[in-house]
Amino acid sequence: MRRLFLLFALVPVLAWSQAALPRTADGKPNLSGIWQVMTTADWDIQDHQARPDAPAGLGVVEGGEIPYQPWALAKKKDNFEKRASADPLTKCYLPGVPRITYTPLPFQILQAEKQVSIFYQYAHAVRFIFANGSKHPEGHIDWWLGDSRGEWQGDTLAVDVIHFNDQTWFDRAGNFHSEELHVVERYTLSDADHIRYEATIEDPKVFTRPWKMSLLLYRHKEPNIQLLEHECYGFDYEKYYP
Amino acid sequence: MLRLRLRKILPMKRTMRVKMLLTLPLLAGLLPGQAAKTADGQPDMQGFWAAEVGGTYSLVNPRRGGGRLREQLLEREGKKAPIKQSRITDPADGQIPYQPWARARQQEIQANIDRPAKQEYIDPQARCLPDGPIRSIFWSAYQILQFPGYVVFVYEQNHPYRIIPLDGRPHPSQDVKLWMGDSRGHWEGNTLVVDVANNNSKSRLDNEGDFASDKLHIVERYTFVDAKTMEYQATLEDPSVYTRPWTIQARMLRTHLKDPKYEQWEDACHEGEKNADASLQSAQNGGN
Repeated sequence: MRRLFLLFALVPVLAWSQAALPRTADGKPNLSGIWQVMTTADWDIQDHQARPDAPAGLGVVEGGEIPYQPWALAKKKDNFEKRASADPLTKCYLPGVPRITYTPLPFQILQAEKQVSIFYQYAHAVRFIFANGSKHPEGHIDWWLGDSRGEWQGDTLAVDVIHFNDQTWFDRAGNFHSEELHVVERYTLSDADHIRYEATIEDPKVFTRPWKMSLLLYRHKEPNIQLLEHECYGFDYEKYYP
Repeated sequence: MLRLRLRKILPMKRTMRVKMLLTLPLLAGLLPGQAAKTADGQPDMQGFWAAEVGGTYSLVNPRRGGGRLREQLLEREGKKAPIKQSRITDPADGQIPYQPWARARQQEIQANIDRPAKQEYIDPQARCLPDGPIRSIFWSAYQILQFPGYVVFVYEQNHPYRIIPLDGRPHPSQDVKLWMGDSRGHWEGNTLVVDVANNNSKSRLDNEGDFASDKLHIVERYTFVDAKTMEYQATLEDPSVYTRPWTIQARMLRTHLKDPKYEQWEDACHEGEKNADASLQSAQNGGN
């Protein structure tokens, strides 16, 4: 009798947790919405104290250390010294993946059954995550945001991204990769308003083993929220076009 | 029961009957006023589109493909470029109804566009800056995506996009100015009506120096004619530049119909762009 009572008590709890995730008509978790991070990862993906060009913050790298090959660690340190002018974002270039996720600007996910589209406020950047069973095009192709192919693994959207160039950094602190970068992103709704975002980084030219970033995306809930523009490469020229 | 009735209405072999019934929704999509609907009841215009007469060399003198270079080649051979009529349907003379100062400004920019000795003569498009709603739709092929409560346009050249909410929310403060404007849409039957405000109008309307100011207000109408055709109409109102509102019109056609696997891929433009500064330096040094 008592067991039965417990069972009945659990039913509404289970039903509530199921209902709490917004879902699309085809039953997948619905990632659609306007999202943004609250980390300082864009300045530095590792633990860092405040400095004149960065707010303090805890890192997003699991385990804390990035397994650079010796030559690459030296290059990272050199990048750090030159970051004020060498960070590709100072020229408003496309930030690459996963950095575009944690630039401190909002982005909007609009999800359809076979394609998840992500629209970033940063420079009108767009990513189409093809989730129709198609494969990466043959390459190598030098893209800033790579080629994204997704599949649902249970309630997680897993995205395989390859075909990168070697021009983007992971952060303003000079963490970098080569064109052999391979990213696997995992988007998991932990409740209706948060996405747990993981990115596994693999690059045999630069690192000794794969490593992982893990961070949280927050849903914008302001009633009038919308994306605006951040056309940073136009700032220097706007004055000529009154 | 149903099968019996269908057999009476359509007396033919079963496979034929099934084929016919399967084709009905497709045929319906081809008839005016019968567009297929998205799950949330919008006429379904998703897919890839391009202007029938593309290019933005000129609004008043468009031609199919190639722009200025093709025009010059054809004229050298003594031939005429096809399609010469203006895209402007109102006023009737096909010209932009500029105020006198604005016409003078447009002519000054046009005269200097090929050899820009000043920054202001460089077409912002040459710097990969977003073209604004009007020029984007003529310059670039584009993709339409629809979601509950939204229509989204993604232009292929230089990847600008417009996310158009359909929920009737007001525009932000007019202190906010945007390269691609701020768009609000609603459906009137098979026509998507889009109100575009908050335009910074820093882009040009074409390669002949045609322009607007940040007071520009646009009303666009995308009328879904059939599964392959859309009529586009836009009225531009800007009392600080024009003497009256004016209207451009164009036919849009579906593209990649024979290539269902077509995908829109990255088109980075600003990254590595060097031509604009090179043309400026060349003009300042007296070259061409």
